[in-house]
Amino acid sequence: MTTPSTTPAVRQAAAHLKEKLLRLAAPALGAEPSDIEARNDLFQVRFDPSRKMSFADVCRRIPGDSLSAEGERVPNYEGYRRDQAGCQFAEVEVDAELGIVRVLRVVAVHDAGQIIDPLTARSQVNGGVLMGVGYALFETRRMDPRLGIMVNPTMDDYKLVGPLDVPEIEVRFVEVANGFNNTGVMGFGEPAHVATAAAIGCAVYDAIGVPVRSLPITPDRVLAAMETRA
Amino acid sequence: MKHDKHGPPDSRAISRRAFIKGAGAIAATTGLIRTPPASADAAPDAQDGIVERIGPGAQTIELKINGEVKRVTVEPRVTLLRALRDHLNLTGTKLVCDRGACGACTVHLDGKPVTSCMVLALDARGHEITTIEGLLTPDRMSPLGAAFVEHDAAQCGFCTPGMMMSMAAALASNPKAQLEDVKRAVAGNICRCGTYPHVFAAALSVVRGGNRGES
Amino acid sequence: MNRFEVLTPADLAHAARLLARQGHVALAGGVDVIDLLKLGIIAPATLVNLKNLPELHGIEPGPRGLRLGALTKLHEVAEHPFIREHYTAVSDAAREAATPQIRNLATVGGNLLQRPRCWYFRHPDVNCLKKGGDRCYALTGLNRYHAILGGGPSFIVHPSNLAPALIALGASARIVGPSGERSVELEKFFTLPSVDPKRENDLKPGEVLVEVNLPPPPAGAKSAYLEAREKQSFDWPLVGAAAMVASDGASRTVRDARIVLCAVAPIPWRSPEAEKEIIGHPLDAERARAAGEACVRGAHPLADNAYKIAMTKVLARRTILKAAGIEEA
Ligand SMILES: Cc1cc2nc3c(=O)[nH]c(=O)nc-3n(C[C@H](O)[C@H](O)[C@H](O)COP(=O)(O)OP(=O)(O)OC[C@H]3O[C@@H](n4cnc5c(N)ncnc54)[C@H](O)[C@@H]3O)c2cc1C
Ligand code: FES
Ligand code: FES
Repeated sequence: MTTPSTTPAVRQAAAHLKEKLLRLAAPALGAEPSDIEARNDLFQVRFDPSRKMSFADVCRRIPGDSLSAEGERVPNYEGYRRDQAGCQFAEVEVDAELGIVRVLRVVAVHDAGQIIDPLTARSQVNGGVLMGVGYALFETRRMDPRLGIMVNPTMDDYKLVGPLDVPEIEVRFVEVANGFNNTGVMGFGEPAHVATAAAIGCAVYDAIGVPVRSLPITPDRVLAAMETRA
Repeated sequence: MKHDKHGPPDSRAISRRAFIKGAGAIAATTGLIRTPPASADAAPDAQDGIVERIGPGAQTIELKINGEVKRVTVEPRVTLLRALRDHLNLTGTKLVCDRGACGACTVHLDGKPVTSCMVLALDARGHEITTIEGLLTPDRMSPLGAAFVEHDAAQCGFCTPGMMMSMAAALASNPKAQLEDVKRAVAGNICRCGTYPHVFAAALSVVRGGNRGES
Repeated sequence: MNRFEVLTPADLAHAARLLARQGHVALAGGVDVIDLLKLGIIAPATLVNLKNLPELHGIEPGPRGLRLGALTKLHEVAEHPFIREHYTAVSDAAREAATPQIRNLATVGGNLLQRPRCWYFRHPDVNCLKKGGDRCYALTGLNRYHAILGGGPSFIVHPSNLAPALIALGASARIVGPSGERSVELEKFFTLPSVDPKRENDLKPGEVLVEVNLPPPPAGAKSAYLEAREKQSFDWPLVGAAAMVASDGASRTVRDARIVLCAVAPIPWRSPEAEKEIIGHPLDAERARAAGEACVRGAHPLADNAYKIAMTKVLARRTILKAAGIEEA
């Protein structure tokens, strides 16, 4: 959610900054700021391209050593849908005698709005998927009902996904033009997380023929579910 | 903690990292004041057949870290991790679980990865200690470090130094590592952000680069 | 963590003399000692560093078996080719234990002498039976990882997965104390909580575990170790099983066998019942299954750990077959 909540404000701040630069360039070019076009490295008067200045020259006119502008995250624009769509698939292997589940593969297809950086976007989905694996198979806070203490507050008793529990993860982004904010960016860390656990739950059901109705899907629960099968 | 009172007059002149380090140093100093050093009694006690007696007060020991001999004055109960972070300003090695279960504090002892939270500083004497600072620095990147950056193998970055120490040791002993090997190499490192796939990819790219010659 | 001094004794005799004193605790790899210190479970005035004692070092294979110095690291055990070949269960158990970083620190002696991982025992706010309190909280509390065999009045499981493998191969421990030395079969070294809930073994004050000795495996013997965990990455075993099976080549008739279970009881749990099912019979999947059933005949599950019974049967069967090199259909 960081990218969709911050990029619209960043983009707005950048627009304000550009206005300030145009105002600095205007007197030197003898034109109104609205008549100046800034493109690549050049500031140019729209109706007389011979009147131009380099970006560096405009910057030299900055009083002091920096120019700053602020932007804010305005409410989303009306009339656009913000729903996210995605599909999450999981392939699991269940040791039917021991009740141990291993996730072999997760395919995450996400309606992702506009992707700003594909590599870090994939990192985001990997993180969501892996937290989803933990949510599905390992993680839970165990409270002793009588003592009122959490008995597994440590990093060996509270089980976090480790490197050997990582499935093969395939991430596909479907970029959709989306007009609800000024960058078209959507968040997808959470969808990848929650949906992964659900997909793993369904895959376990498919594998053993009975659903395991609570998370995490630990071996004791798988074995108990299989007992009810006959 | 009253950070503001200790801050320099021009707070813009201090980086976030330097600021955090400063705050740590204050905490560490307070800890030392609370426990006054006992009289140092390092004399071997021949009658008891003791070749060395150290502590319980702070005593100066020598540690060979990243090729340099460093002197540090610590109580015997100080772990290698605490000595590095709180006494030697080597804060690249991270403290997370403090019980050997997460790998954030991984350093090399004689080239082998160990969790420095489970080693007494005095037990690290006589060994070659390598920390993340000895493996690489921003201006002296290692191929593995560069591959971590290129593959976005760090998210919050807290597990990253430990992850890299484990991986570097494994690749040094097995330059032809395959996916299964690199997974096992970091089996003692936990990453909450889920960077593992990119960590594996980064390590395998170094293996492939190594096969082609230096990349 | 309390403040303490660290002494390095000149020799084994002095180490034993020091360790006989109040408030003196041995320091090997330190993995468990440091954890117990941080948790405040122990607060010794003095740690006695054993790393200077030559008798505790080294792996020595020979015609009379194998000698493992108490300070041998788990990674050395896991990687040693002789152990791999002749004592496969031991090598496999060492490789499955802990994490690469811990295996580079943890010693064989420390592994056998480590304290339980029970989440009540290690919880700083709980004063359980093992810490001198009046009850075992696992009995009526959360006990999914606790004992199904040999429990009471404490229900911990013994944490070492190396111990069952060593016992399956007939290991003994050589121990030096202030008044001499003794050798004890590892199987008899561990003690049930019904004897004394405050300890897990028979090491007396002042005693140093010097080495573990393994006899040559019986002719035709093969061994294996398997464990089941929730996570594939580092995790404590839910159940583990070590098996040594010596059989006649073609007929597969079992002449000798040892089955030892991990994480099901307060001590490494040898199962003579299971051994009886296979000794003297040609081994096949059916026989191995019967041995698995026999393992848990006396089991008493707690509220949350009945699943371990099913798991133990399966692991015992699989480990026996793996040791014997029999593929299941
Ligand atoms: C994250 C993590 C995961 C782990 N996973 C596993 C696992 O999967 N399987 C497993 O079996 N173990 C596991 N362990 C436990 C680990 O193997 C033990 O803590 C370690 O082996 C202890 O050995 P050490 O040399 O560090 O012993 P120390 O901590 O130095 O000593 C342990 C105890 O033994 C005493 N002692 C040690 N050596 C001697 C000696 N020679 N004579 C007399 N007394 C002695 C000490 O006084 C102390 O009481 C794990 C530990 C951690 C932290
Ligand atoms: S801080 Fe040392 S292993 Fe977690
Ligand atoms: S990058 Fe955040 S824990 Fe690994």
